[in-house]
Amino acid sequence: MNLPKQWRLKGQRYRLEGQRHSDGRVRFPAQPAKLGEANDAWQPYQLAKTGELFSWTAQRSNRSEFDHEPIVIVGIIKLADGCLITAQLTDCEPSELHIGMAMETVTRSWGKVGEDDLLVYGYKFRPQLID
Amino acid sequence: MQQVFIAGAACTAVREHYDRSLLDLALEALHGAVGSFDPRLIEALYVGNALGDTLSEQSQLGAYIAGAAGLNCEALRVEAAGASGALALRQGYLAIASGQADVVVVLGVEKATDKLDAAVQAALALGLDGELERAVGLTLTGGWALLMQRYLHEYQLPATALAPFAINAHANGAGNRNALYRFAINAQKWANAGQIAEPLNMLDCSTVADGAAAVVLVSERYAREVAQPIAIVGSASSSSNLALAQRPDLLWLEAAAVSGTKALQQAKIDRNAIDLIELSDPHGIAAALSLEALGYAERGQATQLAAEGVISKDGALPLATAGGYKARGDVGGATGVYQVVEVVAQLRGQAGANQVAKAKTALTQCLGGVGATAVTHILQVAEV
Repeated sequence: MNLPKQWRLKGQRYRLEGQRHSDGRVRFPAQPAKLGEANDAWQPYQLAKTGELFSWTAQRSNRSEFDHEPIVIVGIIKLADGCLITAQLTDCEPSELHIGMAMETVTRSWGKVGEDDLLVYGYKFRPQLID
Repeated sequence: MQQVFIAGAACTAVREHYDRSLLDLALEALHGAVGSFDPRLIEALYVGNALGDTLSEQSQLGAYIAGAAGLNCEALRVEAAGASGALALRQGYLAIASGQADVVVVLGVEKATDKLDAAVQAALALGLDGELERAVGLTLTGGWALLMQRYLHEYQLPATALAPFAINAHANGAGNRNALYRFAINAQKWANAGQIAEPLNMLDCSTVADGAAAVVLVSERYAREVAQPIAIVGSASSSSNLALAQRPDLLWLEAAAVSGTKALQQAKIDRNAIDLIELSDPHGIAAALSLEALGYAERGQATQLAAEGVISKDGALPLATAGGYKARGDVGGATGVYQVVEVVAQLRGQAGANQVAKAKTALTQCLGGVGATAVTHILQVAEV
């Protein structure tokens, strides 16, 4: 059971909390300043909720936690603010996907963890329903 | 700095060794590499291993294997996912080059088949970013598939453009008795293979298996007493972000480019002086991006090298002459040492059916994860 970790990551996973630099760059997730950076160079920032599909794969050989799913689709989405994010794709079939298509984020179950089957939720992306 | 030489090199056959343990495989490779060399001279043992604590449930592999080998010396494990063995070799190289030691042994060992496939996938995925990639279900194979999908899109290529890499590897694996797969494949078979992680199909994915490889590194003082010593004339490693989405350019393997450039500069040779090359090639896309990072092809053009036969045994830049990841088998963290054992056989003219004519200089490059760690070595026939 890694409850502290799930709690620690709630901003990142529920609200797509990242950071924006004073020069306009955006990054995800929020992280400490890199060596040579000022501590306040990056400020909290909530990422855009929509973007386009940058790359994707449909995995048919998966880890034990995902054994119940015959196919796990994972993509990289380029968000409207320019930030790239890797996420599981949902509400779609591999045959529907093409690079450049519009995507939007949803909050969905990521699975169960620990002996007590704690349900963990987080971001996924799906083809955008409305322009 | 002292010059560094390879005095002995050996490996086990790559197989699904259900009847053998990690220790059993390690000792076979060590006996083969050390041969008649006096083991009392060995000052350190560097073990490259990626999956031992998760799949073999054993840590402290340095002391564990040294004890079994009867060695009482500095002994440690080096871990950098698939680059573990290559990075262990670099630690051994640095120990000799710095003058701290005159004789060390580097071992790469991986025992993957004690667990079922889903557990192996989970262990391999530890080489990805845990919170940003593994947590969302990405596998190591899936990571390379994301690069391939984008590569095909940006350069407007069909997936079959990458088939010649696997076909070349299998053609060479057929001539290597230590290879896991000793048979050829053709373009038709490749095209008909089922999907593993679209667009990566089964014949574009290596199989993780068991094996161990070892080399004895010595200073010039001992190299004079060895038949056919091989010099390590370049050694460099570099790193980049584990998380693919955090890289400034998804299709540029920065660590591979930096470590390759540094190793060539140290060796004071041009890339065109390399007679044969070993890369991390679990998938055609990995080989293609590595060739581009090393400057052998313009970006988006590496598949032409494969299509035109440049990478074949008789081509200008033979690649994967013992079968590469695809046919020799993917031995995880042991791979970097396997590459060197195979290249030593080539430089000594002992590669049998796969011998590259007049091979004098070779480059090995090994990647960890999806290229987050890269280690490059340049080996040459020595004159001592």
